[in-house]
Amino acid sequence: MKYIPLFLVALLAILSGCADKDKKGDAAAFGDSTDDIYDQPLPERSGNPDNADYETLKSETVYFAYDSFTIEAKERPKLDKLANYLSNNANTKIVIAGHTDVRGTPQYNLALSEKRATAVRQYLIGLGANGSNISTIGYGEDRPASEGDSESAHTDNRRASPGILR
Amino acid sequence: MRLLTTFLLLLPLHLHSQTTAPVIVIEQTRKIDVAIQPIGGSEGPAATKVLEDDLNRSGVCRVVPADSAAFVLSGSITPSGLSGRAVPKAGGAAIVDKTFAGDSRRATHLFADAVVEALTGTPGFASSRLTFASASGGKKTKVKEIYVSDIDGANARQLTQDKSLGYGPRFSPDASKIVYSSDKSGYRDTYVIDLGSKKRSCVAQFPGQNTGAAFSPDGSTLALTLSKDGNPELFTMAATGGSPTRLTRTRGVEASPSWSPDGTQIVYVSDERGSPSLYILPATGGEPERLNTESSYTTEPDWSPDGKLIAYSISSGGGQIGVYDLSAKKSRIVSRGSGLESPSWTRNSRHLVASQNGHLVLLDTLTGETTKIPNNLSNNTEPNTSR
Repeated sequence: MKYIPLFLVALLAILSGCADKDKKGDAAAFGDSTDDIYDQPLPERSGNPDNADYETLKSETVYFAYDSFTIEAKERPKLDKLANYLSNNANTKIVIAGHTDVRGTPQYNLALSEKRATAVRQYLIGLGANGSNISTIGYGEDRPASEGDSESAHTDNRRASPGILR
Repeated sequence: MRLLTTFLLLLPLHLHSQTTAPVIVIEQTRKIDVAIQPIGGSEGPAATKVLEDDLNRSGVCRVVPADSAAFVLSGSITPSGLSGRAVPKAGGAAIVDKTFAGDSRRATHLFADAVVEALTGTPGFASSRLTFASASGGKKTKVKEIYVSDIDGANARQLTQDKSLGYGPRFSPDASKIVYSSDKSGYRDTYVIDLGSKKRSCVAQFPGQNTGAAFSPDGSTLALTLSKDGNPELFTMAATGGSPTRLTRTRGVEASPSWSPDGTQIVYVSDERGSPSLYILPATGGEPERLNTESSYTTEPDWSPDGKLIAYSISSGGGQIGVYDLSAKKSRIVSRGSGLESPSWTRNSRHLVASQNGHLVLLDTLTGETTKIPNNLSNNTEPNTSR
């Protein structure tokens, strides 16, 4: 079960006014499943995520639990730092590259990794970042940080990495 | 008394919490014994072997010596194909007596399919083709190109030279086109390749991800996953490109659409309620209905050509294939072993092609048997069968 970050909940509750109409089961704990509060349209494309610089902001890589796109509390200070970087570099365009571990199947992993990237993007927008400077891509299981089937490799691979587009 | 009540209350809860799926049902299927008279000519021995393999793989025939056969098959290679006959050994009219066009291999597959159809009323799949992705390279440099081959693994041919990550190739209903997605622009776009003209067109390049496309049964429409609105959601759009229609609105992710054969419904994956599971919604949009497969982490649904079954991957338990029966509302695991994923029905709605630890296999859903589909390529994923 996934939970969206509390910060977003607060923000979205404000944006959406009343989010608790048509509650259905646990999935609707934070609002019904048919409103648009999760939509933060993506910007026109820029640069090439394949050639982005993933080194400069490497320490701001966000890690995720298995089959989850929730941004955990312990990861949020990295995004505060990243939002700060973006406000100090207003003309810099970045890409958030989402990844999964090798478990699961290709198309779902592509979608889950993209969702990890868009979750980070939305969180940054919530912190005041300019969404038009933040692109996303999901690489599924095909650009691992660590190879192999160990639990530690899985942990390393479930991530969203910020890259500077050039 | 109180203890007893507690026990009675707990019992159904305990049963309910068992997430192990339904029992594997292995059916012994009766096979029809057929004999093959050696096909003459220089290509005859090879064609005879192809015919024998096709019939054994069909699941409905067993190739036996002539004295114990119920039907006898004979054929001869002609300049434009193969002329084939199947006659009952007890005497009577031929059940197949026809000339099949194509090179000897292709014509032999068509002959095998005609024999299977004459014997069972259901078309064989020996003349079907496969498309799939095959990966090479290391972790930072991995590329996945799109390939096509015959369903027995022969005639494997590389279709793309994108030197990037390619995903999810699927045939159009008439097998004249393949839709797939690729990162070749740096972002993941959806392309359609015309197999006749070898021309490729980009049909979806919206911001974010454009992937998982499937042709509608009439070939006019694609269902696919787009993340342009900020979240991976299901859309439909004209197969030649254009303005997409959004079908889902959730806070989770949607992926892997597959059409019902009448084109009115789409089965897909959503993790809106936790781990990924299967849902069906009207192809024009509407209320999704969740399928209770009794397994967790189910993905990659594929709707059978007869409309009755949905095959899917079960990732929990190490990679198995399940089949959901839409009228009985029941599912069963149809595979043995592990590492199986990406099932794609053949045209008989009985056999599936799937990947297993990087190889392609043919899976008989009635017996649970797998047959390796040999090729010289590594890391084969996401096979799709022409119908």
